[in-house]
Amino acid sequence: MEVNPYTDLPAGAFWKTGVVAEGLESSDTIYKKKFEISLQDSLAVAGSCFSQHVGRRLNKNGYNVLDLEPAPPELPESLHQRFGFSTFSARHGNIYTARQLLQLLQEVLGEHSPCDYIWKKNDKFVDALRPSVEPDGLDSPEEVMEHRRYHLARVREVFERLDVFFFTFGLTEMWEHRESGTVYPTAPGTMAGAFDPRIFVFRNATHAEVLQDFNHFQSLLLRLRGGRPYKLLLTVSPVPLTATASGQHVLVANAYSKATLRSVAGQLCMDHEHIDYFPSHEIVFHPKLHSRAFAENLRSVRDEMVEVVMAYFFAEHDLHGTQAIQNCDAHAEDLQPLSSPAEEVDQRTGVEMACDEMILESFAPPL
Amino acid sequence: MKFVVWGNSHLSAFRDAWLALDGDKKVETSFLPTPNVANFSDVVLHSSQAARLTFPDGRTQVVALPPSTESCLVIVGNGNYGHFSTYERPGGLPPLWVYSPRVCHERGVNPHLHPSLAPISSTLFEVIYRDTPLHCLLHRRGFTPAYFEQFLKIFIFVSPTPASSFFRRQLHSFQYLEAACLHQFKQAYGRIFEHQVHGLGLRELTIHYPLASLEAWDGTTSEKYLLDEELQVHANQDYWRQRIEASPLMALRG
Repeated sequence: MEVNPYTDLPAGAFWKTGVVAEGLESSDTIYKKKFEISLQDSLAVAGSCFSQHVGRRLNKNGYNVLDLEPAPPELPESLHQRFGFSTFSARHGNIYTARQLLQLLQEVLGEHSPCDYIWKKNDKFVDALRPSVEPDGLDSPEEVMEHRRYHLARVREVFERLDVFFFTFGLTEMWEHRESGTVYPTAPGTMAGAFDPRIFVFRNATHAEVLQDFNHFQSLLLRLRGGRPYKLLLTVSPVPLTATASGQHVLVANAYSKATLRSVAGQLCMDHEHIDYFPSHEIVFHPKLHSRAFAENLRSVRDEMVEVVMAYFFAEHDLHGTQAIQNCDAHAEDLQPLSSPAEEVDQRTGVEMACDEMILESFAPPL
Repeated sequence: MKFVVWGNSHLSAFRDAWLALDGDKKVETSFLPTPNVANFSDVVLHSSQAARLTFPDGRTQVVALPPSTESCLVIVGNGNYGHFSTYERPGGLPPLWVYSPRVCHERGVNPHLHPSLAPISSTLFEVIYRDTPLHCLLHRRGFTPAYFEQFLKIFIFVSPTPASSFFRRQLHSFQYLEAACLHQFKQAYGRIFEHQVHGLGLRELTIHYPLASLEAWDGTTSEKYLLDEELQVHANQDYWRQRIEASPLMALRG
């Protein structure tokens, strides 16, 4: 047979052998690391709600995950999540979009002052830029500002100290303050605040905008760090949109959002030596799983599946020399269809997941 | 009226103040240092007529107890607002800053001068502290609401606020007091304490707090009312005299 560019490629390069024939656990080529992460490296974790799984498992596996807004020692662990503790490296809640990430760093640097970010919730006040960290809200607008001031100082420290930043892209859709361009992680009127179309506008970012925002974020990060280099691990959340305001069917809107984010992550990874892409989205959507990776709501990723996803990561970033995908407790292909209702709970840790956008489900028309 | 007075390490100075107020008359009072009551269960659960005290040096003492139906119950400190149980928690709780712009403004405090203090919301504060009042009042020692209810009246004298040196030393912070945190802490904890303790539904309950006149600007007990000790959490006889005189107990003493 004539030699051609495909002749000597490994099994993973072909759909038939890499996907159809190869078991999910036996495939060791889905993720190949681009750089090493050592025990001494300080990791920062941020992103959409899927990154909560990531951070928790990195911690459990002995990585040095920064937590610069730790919970008060006497707060029971079961309540950490409820107050936004022990979830990310700072108490910023979910960061769904590249614009939100950029905006946070701009605020840290004093280059952006968010507008209209104190929203009312009953008789309390909520920081609309991280509405889930104080479930009942705070007692006064001044208190919101004071909490935010402290929070920004901690975020700054995270950005200064990190060696590796693990960021999970979640959404392209966002709600924006018309006049100032301030973006919010949740729509006004859902968790708090009130929706006024004269003040807020829906935006769905394009590939170019996401890429520009992320590169802008990177340049600011480098400046904040005085040029000290860092590594970036990017992934795209496999958790689909709860709802879309784009006017499209949610299935179509979700495909746009994830494809855009995946494309940006891919381009960033190709363009920069210090950026690696971890394919959690691809693993969860592996055709062999026939959607069994998801809980019954066909949205939440089952905990066993998260184990599988992270097993790929730990097999490559093997701190202790004991990791292998085959050693993973859970086996993706053994996943049975669920018969119990889906819950936003990490079954292994019993920790409730904080997905702000889950609240949108309550606005869906009755079945 | 007869009195049964339980207390922890604060009892000694309270007792001195109480007896000094007696003058010519003798108010019938039984003092019970809680940690030294050997037959605690008999007294609290089985209405024993006498408490048997044992002391570390081997001494023992029997204290006769008046019928509770003819007496007032007085709790002195006993962990309520205690330095160890409330202000300084096992596990090293960091300074709690319940932010109140009004209090900061009134006291001329600029909160931006204290960047290392983590602000705590009232909701989070309540979650952390909601079990503390009843743990200190009841469960830690084994008291029961039924025991309290046997008495004609109940007075709880919460512990003196520790000295400023205590907070600076134990909380490793100079900022806690300067930022008016202690006032805010006491307000926030007071709301929980009142809610939980009154939630027991005890009749004729009075909770007596430290008087502002006995405290410094930062909410700590003024130095002149402190015992000369390293820990700096115990108040002297003069302090307790003023609190007793300011309380409804004075009228009951006759």
